[in-house]
Amino acid sequence: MPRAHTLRIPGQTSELARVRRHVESWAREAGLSERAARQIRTAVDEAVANAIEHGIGDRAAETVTIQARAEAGGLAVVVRHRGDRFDPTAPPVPLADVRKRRAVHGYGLHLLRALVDELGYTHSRGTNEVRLVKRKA
Amino acid sequence: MASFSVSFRDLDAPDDGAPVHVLDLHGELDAHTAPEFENALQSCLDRDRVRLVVAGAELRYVSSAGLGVFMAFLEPVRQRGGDLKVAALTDEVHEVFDLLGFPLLFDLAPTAEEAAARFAEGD
Repeated sequence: MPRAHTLRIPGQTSELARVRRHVESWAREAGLSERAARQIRTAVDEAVANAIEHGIGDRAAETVTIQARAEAGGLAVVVRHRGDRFDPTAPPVPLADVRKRRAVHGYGLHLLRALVDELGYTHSRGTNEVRLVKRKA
Repeated sequence: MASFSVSFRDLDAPDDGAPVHVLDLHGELDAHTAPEFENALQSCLDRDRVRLVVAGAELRYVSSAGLGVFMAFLEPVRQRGGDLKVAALTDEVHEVFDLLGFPLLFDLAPTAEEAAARFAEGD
């Protein structure tokens, strides 16, 4: 049976380190290499940070739920929070433009997209759901 | 909670002797700890310290929030005649810098001493 894990955190950035520790552990359990484990950890960190920042209006998300499932090919992680629509699969501002403007923001989505093998998004009844998949090889 | 701290030290640039200020980062730089790094860099600017090396030998993690702080201070430091050089990144942190093309913008050196020497060379 594939192993599944759920972590629910308050919408506070102080929780990000705990999220990273869990994702690293789940990734190793799923048989990912150290590098792949680091990459999915960083991608989930970015997704959860986005969820916290982009809550409802100006308010941070109250809670964020992270669910992971080890699959034959790797690890699938779903990050879920109630809030305004925020689609990480939408084309971001090109990285070269972000750098050229010396922008402080705008790197997280590029990082997230570069580090995972699959990225999916749904928004239904006020809930954002971001799905990230990292394969073993 | 992520642990993160910044410690400060000065290095003499070999040729011109003017001090280079090194900020040694320790721990994990994420959306929660980025303000601490921002405060550290701002305190340098407030004291007109613009020959800066950020050293990452003890930096175990960086996220986009941390990278945004690097970017926020790059131009202000250069506009005042200095630079913000980056040194001694671990492979893991360097990978993130590389993915976002930051080596195109920042002068990356293998050690803080090498970065300091480049100030003397006029870089």
